[in-house]
Amino acid sequence: MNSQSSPSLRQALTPSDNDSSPERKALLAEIDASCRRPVLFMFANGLLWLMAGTALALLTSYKMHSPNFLADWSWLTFGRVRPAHLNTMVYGFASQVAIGVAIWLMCRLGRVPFMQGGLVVGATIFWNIGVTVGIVGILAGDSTSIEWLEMPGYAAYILFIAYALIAIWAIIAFRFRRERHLYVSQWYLLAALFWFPWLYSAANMMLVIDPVRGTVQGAVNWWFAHNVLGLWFTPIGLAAIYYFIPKVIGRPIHSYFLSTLGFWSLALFYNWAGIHHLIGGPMPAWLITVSVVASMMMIIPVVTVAINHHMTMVGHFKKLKYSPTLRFIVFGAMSYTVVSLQGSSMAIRSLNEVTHFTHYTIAHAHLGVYAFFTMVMFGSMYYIVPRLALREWPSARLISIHFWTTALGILLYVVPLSVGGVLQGLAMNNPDIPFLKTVELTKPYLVTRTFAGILMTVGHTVFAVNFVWILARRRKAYQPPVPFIAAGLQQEAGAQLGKDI
Amino acid sequence: MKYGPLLFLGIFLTLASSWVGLTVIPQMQFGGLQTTKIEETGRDYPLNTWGAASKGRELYRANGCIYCHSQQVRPQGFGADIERGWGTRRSVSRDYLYDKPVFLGTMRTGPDLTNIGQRQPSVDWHLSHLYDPQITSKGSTMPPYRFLFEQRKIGAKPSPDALKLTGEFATPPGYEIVPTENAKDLVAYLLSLRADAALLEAPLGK
Amino acid sequence: MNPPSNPPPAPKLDPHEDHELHDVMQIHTAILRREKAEPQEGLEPMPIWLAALFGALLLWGGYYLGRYNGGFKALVFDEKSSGLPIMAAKPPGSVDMVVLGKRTYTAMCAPCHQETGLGLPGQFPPLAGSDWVNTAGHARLVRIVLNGLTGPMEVNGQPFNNSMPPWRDSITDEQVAAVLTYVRQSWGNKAPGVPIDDVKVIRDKTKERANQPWTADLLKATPESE
Ligand code: HEC
Ligand code: HEC
Repeated sequence: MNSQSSPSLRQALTPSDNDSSPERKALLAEIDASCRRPVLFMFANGLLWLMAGTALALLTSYKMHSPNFLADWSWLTFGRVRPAHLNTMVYGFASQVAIGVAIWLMCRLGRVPFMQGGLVVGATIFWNIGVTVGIVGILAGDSTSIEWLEMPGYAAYILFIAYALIAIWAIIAFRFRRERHLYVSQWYLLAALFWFPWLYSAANMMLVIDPVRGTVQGAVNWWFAHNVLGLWFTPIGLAAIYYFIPKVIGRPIHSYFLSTLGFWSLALFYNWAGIHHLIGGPMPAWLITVSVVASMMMIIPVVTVAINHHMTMVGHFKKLKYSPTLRFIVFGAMSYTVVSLQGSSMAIRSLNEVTHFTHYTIAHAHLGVYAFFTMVMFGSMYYIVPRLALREWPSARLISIHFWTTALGILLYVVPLSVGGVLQGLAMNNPDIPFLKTVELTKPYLVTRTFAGILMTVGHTVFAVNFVWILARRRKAYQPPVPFIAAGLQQEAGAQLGKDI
Repeated sequence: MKYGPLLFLGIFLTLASSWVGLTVIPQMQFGGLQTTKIEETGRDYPLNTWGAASKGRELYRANGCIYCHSQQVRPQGFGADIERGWGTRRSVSRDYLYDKPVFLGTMRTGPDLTNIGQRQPSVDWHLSHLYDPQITSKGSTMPPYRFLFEQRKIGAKPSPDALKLTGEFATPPGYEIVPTENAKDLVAYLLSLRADAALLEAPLGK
Repeated sequence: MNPPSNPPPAPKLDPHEDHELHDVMQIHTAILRREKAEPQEGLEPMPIWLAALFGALLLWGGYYLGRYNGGFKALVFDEKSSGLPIMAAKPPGSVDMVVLGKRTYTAMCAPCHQETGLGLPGQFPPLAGSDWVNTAGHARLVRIVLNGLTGPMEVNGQPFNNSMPPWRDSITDEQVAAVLTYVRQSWGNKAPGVPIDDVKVIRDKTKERANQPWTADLLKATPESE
């Protein structure tokens, strides 16, 4: 691949419209207005589920070291609260916010207003009914006990129909785009929007509605569960990173070639990696080996994407100070690199022997879903919401608190629990250590996690407050955005003000 | 890139490949696996769970025991499952023919339960342990399942099922703790868990 | 990027928000004005070292898949072989009886008699210092482990009335001998070990009891020598 690429390629990669023209800004305003109701509605519901999921998370975490807490009511037993937490976060919060971000990005990048916003609001209501029914079902004892697919079959139908009604409009926005050139974010978005329904319906068919026999269920389960992260959250997260880094710092993404390689290698390898969750288990050797290889091959897209993002950021790290969007997004992008390389390493049989079945896996999962994906979604919302709500974020202090509590919270979660997980694994593989000792050994790390959870809860609450505030704020004559950095840096921030949020 | 259809084709083919490779081919390859006859006993293996045990299985599902307990024994030389007495051989596909869903699990906050029926055949022990794990296993993080038990006034005669509780776990005088049908079903399921027949593809000790 | 000199024309907004339109426009214009261009792609080439790294990875992947695929067979679970496992006869004396005893104890007995051998007051009798364990003969202990024990009994003067399950179908003669030897020689207990052959003999002798547990009285009526 040659850096002196032909002018035609360069032309092909350049959007056809002139970005500074007033017509162009008018179009952006029109797109924002068209996304306003559906996307804000999804964000609002997503945040409600985030708060519910956070409460369930704290309860789960606390129960892990103090099992007698709230144990006498079957609805709140550990084995129900835990999947309820996972499903609220995955289907209530993360997926819903992801769809909102995806819709907005699709319209922005396709230069086309969103169609049928009202209908999508209806479908979103339907989706939320589905999540509610599912969570109540789990707590009432209808959980399927199939990981990542615990919602009972009746809720799954509702979710699937609601999803189809929503996603179809995002895909229509893609189909009728006015900008023919497809930016890398759009590849990921299109892929995710198409992959998810396939994964979800195939897994439900083969596991819940008409289950296949024996351990084939295990294979389907982990093909699905791993791909919810790999082919649903990851591509939407990457699409947002690919959009917001160049957008906020105002320079092109480093390399089109790396973008291409990163996308196609992810598409090719990620979906084969899932069976590494069953290493050592009752799976034919070939299935596991295939997944181990695919997991290692994931190094290709991860390193490619990391270089592409890093080289785009180089020289602009100072902007992290002023732009909350950039802060969250860059934190997420870095976590993506770390969590993915860690994931590849965990598929190596000899390391898996230690980390499998321990809290190390749980720490890893949160590094992926939270430190990477959720942080990227927070960053995206900081950018999108003011454009849809037509107001500025009311409180910079709250933004700052949100960032530090969640960033430090997730580190305090992941690092100690990973250490604890390794110790637990080593102890478990030593048959001369009685099992109860391995339980005793992990307790301090489980307590630390509860503290980390409290920090993150503070962050989520603060974010929710800021969100309600921005929606409820009375529109006055134009107020300049509040500077992101508190008092001391106010002046410097003032200079940057209004440029990078 | 300008070509939407081409992009879409690639997106379609990549997922199709793994859907076929990781779910359809396994289904064709071992989705139709059959039971086998064990030479020593002349019985088919595995047997389906039935009666109380199959009701207990539903309780295991509903109450999420899988989030702390796996049901898969790793082979000799990979982890210490066999040395810990969790099994006498590795688990293989055939062990799970009747399981819907399979409770393979991915966490071992508690011990593996593939062979708990062999390792701990005492109904009384399981009942006390479920009522409050602290009775038998001080410091355990397993939650108590008191909602599977009933505290009631002792009638004319004490119930034969009543748990024998002493010390800090003792019931107030005049009362007794009796397991509900649910608790008994769950224990019946636990006692049915046993995968220690040697198979062609999984001889003992491997 | 510099803001455009003239503000953009009014976009379509919800009609019922007309009265606010002016303010809104002002705000949105300000927000949009500071926005940078839509992202574009640069054309930096892919570094050579990266291509080399990826080539090496792919080679490794091919090798690993070729080496550890178990012949792509459904019933091959060991990635290092491509056929069914061969039943290896255990070489005699390969198990260390001390280790086997301790492990069997931890797995099978510790849930009740506890890791410390102290049992649980009122529920499970102690093995440490027990007058049933510290005896010259061992036939009675073998019987207890094979068939279990139920009903009222006394250990060191303390009464117990509970049941211990039978282990006849769950553990091998080797394990019975090893675990009893471990029990008789731990926590300060000092009684002679139990040979495997004696376990075999008693297992045969008590065959017709199947899985029916003993009671303390029955055991006491059976002479230790048998
Ligand atoms: C929060 C995690 C957790 C949950 C949920 C849980 N357990 Fe446990 N379980 C443990 C731990 C830790 C131990 C080991 C200590 C002990 O014996 O209590 C254990 C031990 C056991 C044992 C004894 C195993 C042995 O080898 O002695 C059985 C049987 C058991 N659990 C059954 C269940 C059942 C049935 C459920 C669901 C109703 C369940 N557990 C739910 C954590 C859990
Ligand atoms: C389910 C709980 C349980 C398990 C598991 C168990 N026991 Fe017992 N054991 C008991 C009870 C209860 C008694 C007393 C029986 C009675 O009250 O009649 C007892 C009595 C004994 C006695 C005689 C009394 C004494 O304290 O010396 C010995 C010896 C003994 N057990 C050894 C073992 C060995 C060895 C194992 C492991 C292979 C084992 N037990 C496993 C519950 C158990």
